Amino acid sequence: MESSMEKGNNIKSTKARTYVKRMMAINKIINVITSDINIDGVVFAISHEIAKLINCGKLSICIKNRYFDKLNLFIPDENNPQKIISKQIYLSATNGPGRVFITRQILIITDVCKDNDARMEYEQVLSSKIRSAVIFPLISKGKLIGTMNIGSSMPQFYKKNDIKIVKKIINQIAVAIENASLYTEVKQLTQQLQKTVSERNAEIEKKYYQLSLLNKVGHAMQGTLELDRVLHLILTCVTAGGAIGFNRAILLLRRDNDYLQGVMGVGPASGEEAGRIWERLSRENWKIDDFFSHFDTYPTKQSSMNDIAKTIKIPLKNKSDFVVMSVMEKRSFLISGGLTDARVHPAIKQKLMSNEFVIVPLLSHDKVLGIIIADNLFSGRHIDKDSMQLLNMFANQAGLAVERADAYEKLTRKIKEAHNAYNALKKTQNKLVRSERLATIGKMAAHVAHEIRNPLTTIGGFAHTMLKYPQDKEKVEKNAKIIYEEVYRLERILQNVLDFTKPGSPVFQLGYINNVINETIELLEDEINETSTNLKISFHQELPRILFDAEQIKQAFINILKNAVDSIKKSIKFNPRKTNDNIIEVKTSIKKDYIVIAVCDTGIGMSQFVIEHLFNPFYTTKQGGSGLGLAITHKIIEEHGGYIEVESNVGSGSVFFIYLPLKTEQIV
Amino acid sequence: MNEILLLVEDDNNQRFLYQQELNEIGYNVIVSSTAQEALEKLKSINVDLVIMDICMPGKDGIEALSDILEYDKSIPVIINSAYGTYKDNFLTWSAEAYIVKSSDLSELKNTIRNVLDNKHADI
Repeated sequence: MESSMEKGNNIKSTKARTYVKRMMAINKIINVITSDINIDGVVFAISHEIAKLINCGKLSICIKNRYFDKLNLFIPDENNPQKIISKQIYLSATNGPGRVFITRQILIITDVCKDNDARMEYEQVLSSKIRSAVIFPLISKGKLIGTMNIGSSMPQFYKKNDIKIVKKIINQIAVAIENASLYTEVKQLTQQLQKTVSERNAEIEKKYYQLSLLNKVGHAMQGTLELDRVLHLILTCVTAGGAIGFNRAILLLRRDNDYLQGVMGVGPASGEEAGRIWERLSRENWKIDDFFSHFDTYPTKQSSMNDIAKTIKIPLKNKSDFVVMSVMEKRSFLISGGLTDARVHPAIKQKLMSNEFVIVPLLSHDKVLGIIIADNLFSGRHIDKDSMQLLNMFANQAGLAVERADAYEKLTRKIKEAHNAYNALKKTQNKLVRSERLATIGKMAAHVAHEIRNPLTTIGGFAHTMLKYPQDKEKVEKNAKIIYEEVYRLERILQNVLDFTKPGSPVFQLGYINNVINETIELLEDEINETSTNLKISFHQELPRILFDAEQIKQAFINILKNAVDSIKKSIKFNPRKTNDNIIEVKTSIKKDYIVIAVCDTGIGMSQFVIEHLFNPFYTTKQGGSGLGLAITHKIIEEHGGYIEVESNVGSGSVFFIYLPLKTEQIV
Repeated sequence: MNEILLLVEDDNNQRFLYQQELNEIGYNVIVSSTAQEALEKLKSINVDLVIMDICMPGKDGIEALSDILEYDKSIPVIINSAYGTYKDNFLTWSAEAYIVKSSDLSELKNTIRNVLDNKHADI
């Protein structure tokens, strides 16, 4: 009894111990499986711990993916239990997990051979030796997230108790699996996101690089005004590796609106040359900046492409020609049948021998200046959208630069033309001045001749009379007197001519102009009074001292003042009634850098003809005048660095303005 | 009856010279020192011929020549100037003759004679 009791107690205690043991194991499992958030770790922990709990055979976990069409299957590797193999299986109504997804119940397959669907799956589909299996639904927060599958190669392997034990922890397992799967998903998403971001970054960086290149090129181009240089820079850029990177490029510019002329080309002429150039560029480690700073020595500058380009000329007639279309429609073309397409101009076909190339219009202010044709003949690299787009952007900048350079060139030409015209004009002017001088000399000679001939005529005539009547004392005396007078006149003329052609150079001294003017007026005061002329003097009282030759200025001024008096005299002679309102006004003032002496009279005035000849030596309107007075005045004022202006109207009088520079120091 | 010559000359000594010389060979010489004065005299005296200087104060000989011809086309005018250059001025071409002044007056005298003879032949 006791022993049976004992036995029963023993059994009870054994059971209790087993129960406690299991509970502890379950607790441990829960601790372990919830301590990891990595799906692999969780699956490993589950399989490891359940194996301690029951004899579970093979264990696997299925988790549905977010689209519900597939299951992610996690199986610990048989050879390496630390490793978890993951694969995908389809969810179907006949496979175990599929059936559990439908029923949401534990599926127990006691013998695979007795279950048609299971046999199909395990034997035929999976070629597995599993004979019995239990599939537990993993339900977390009421949601079926997957299954946990245990299987054995023995039929009827799992006892009810085993299933009961697993059932106790299956919910915790489900939560752990969900957490882990969520974590994994988030991790994957994060990774994906990171990948996308870094991909985007790389793309953005590439774009930025290209744009900054364009910017650099743009600056380089805008800073260059020489057309040839701009053109070469453009093509260099199109072909330089690291920038747009085409193998070859040629540039055609629009001429006279009706054809395109190839002007420049860069790039190797053959594959061999291409290899050589690229080898050199990579050996010397050329970067795009080098192309800009040393593009004059860029190895393709003297390329034969340049010669090839120059032979291309395409009329803008054929409207179905790609080149013409590009110009007319202002858009670019990617041509992939370059050797066969009828719309490719024969010149392009023959000269480029290229099957794939791009045609890009060179635009400036909506005007097509030309086109760029570029290809990758030697590398054979396909021309993608990116490089097309880049080339287009580049062409827009290039267009502006070309237009600017073109305008600059035209301007330079115009300036040169203007310069030449100016030089020619100057030459002509010099000739004119010379001939004018000769004409003046001629005029002067004529005047001198006139002045001399008059007294000579008289002298000769009277001498002749004297010879005819030598006994007529009265006649001889009278004629001798006249001859004497005329000889004196001749001598005076001679002196005048000498004075005029060889005047003494002025001796400059600082002094007040007003004083000199005053002294001169005093000399003529009597004569002025005789004509009952009202003399008005208004001096600027604060005139500074300036440098001048007092004697010469006196002489210059007296000539002008005397002219004013004579002019008044003449007007009285012609119109004797006009005696009361005769005025001579002398005025000094400052105008800019000059002292101005104005002499204004109400005399007879001068015609335009007289004004024009006024200062010519020997020109006179006065009886017996030498015609030298104003010529000498003019000369003196000029030697003082000044000038004379005249205003006059016939009948109403004249004004002479003498301008003398406000000079206090003599420039030697 | 002596032929009447009008001498227009601003130079006193020359006026005197010409008057004396031409009087001597039988002409009746009246004189003026300005063109204006000469034009006035033309209107009151029947003059056969005018001898005119060019360079004179006031109206010059060329202007006076036009005035004379405007007044009476039949009066012959001889220009007698110290300037040779005015020969090129077409305004002087309407004068019967152009003489450059010289101390030898024979050219002037011959020309006066010829002009007067032609004038009588025309009539």
